[in-house]
Amino acid sequence: MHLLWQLSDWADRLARWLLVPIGIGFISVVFLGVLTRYVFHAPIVSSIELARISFVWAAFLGAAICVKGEKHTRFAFLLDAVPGRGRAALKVVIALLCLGFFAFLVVKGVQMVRMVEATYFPALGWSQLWLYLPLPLSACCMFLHALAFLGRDLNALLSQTGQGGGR
Amino acid sequence: MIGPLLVFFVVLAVAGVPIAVGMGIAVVVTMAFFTPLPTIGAIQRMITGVDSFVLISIPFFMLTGRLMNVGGITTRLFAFARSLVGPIRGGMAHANVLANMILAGMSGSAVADAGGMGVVVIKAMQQQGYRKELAAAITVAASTIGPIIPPSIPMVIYGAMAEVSVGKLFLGGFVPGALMGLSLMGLIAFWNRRERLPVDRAYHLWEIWKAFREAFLSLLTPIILIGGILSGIFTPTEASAVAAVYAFILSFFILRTVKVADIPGIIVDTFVTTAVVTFIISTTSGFSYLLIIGRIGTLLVDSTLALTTNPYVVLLIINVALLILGCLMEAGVLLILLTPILVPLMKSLGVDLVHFGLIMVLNLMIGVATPPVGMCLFVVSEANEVKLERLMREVIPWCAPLIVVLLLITYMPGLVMWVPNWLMAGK
Repeated sequence: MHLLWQLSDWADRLARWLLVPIGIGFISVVFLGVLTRYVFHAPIVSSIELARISFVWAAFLGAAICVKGEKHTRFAFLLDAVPGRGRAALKVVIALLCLGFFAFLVVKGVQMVRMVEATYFPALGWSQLWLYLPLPLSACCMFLHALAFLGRDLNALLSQTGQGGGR
Repeated sequence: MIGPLLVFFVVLAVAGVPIAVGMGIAVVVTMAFFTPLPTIGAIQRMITGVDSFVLISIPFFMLTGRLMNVGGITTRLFAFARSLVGPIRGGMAHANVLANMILAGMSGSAVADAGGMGVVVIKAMQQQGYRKELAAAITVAASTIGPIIPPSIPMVIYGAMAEVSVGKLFLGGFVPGALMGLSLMGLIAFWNRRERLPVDRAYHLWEIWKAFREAFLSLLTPIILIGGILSGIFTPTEASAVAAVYAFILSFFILRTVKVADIPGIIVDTFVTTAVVTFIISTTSGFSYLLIIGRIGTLLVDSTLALTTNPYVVLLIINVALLILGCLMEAGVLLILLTPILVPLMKSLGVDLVHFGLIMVLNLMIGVATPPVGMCLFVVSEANEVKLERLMREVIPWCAPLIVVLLLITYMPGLVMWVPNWLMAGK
């Protein structure tokens, strides 16, 4: 259990560590694109492609950080309405579904990266894998967070079941 | 195919699975078992859903709003608004609305405005003798102007999904935003008969000048944004980047309220808030694709046209449905889910998509101020320690003028279309 949380914390730190320079790079690229086009009349042709790539990276890394903070929008009315053990069981089911979805994103995301590896951005000349890579990478982080949540929710369910059985 | 897709999504969403994940699972399961499509297509759609130059503006608008709040710019704007309308009875309440209208020209999010401006304004109003709940309710209602007066994050999302000019949508928001502000001010004047509101002191001309001077550099932000877009210098995305860099220069170099150590936190917060929206857009991209190949748009158009061909009746039905759904669901989610479904219907009825975009965004913004699921209510209640249930009761009359404006813009399209048709004719 402790190991799962450690892995999840490590993945979160990695996502944050990557997000700051990518975020700053993204802002700089878009701004420089405007500056070079309108002020210096010498546009950087590849700035739009760089902006797109860095935005996709920032969006998916941000999504992974959101998973860790449990910030993604959800309806909580059923969770709030179900009492004790039922809620704990529902949380386990939700964690399992998230885990399954993130595993799917990792596996299919890697396949997708391999598929687009040989195609290139016209201006940058970079492989398209740079556009698709953030999805499986962020999904890996999400998978680790979901695994830690599953451990936590299973623990909560088992402790509630134990209490119920003892009564 | 569409039946299972919707059933899976609704069951998962109701069970409490995050919307983005529930949507993704519904898309993948439907693709795997109810279509011959390979599931890897869902991955491709997830990337192409966010790989959009228009959506790139979302983090910039978020960043601008965040820098304005962290940099103390909202406080200066409120002081300026207060100096203008202070002497009127209920002056501080009017200043609240006016400051939100000015802030709306810089930030594109109602929730950010409610959070940033709310803390400053509610405290000041309370010190002057306003009931905390009343101050909070006016703040919640006024914050909905944020995404109507440009810039606007919901309009960027709508523009990207409906393939409509974001510049035209921005311009279309000026008159409705002004009407929202004026109608709220009208209600404040009326409220004064029911509950005698305090008067702020009169401000000397030099005090107004001083407040203006202190707010001047921040007041330039909307001019840079809208001026840049209108003059054709920038696209809306580029304008958002320029505005964010300007807000950064203002708060980091000139006002010196943002420190180097604050930057990583601001960047992470900006992209995390952006990701809440973009992750849903990403998984909804597959959903929209399945709706298109399932011809749900055509089905909706045919069944609606069988009932009525009068666009005003259809718009009334949509308005009522959106107002109800807006009370129950998060505005951004509704916007992302319903835009691909409703746009074909509007096209077939001959409704201008800029006009419809404004109707939809204004309607959903009323949703962020109405119970039980109103994000602005939650933010203001939490940040200012106002009991949520009391705020929910208090805010209801303040939504009435917003609904009147919604009906006005629905049935008088000129109120929306006049500015874009005038300033962007032929573009």
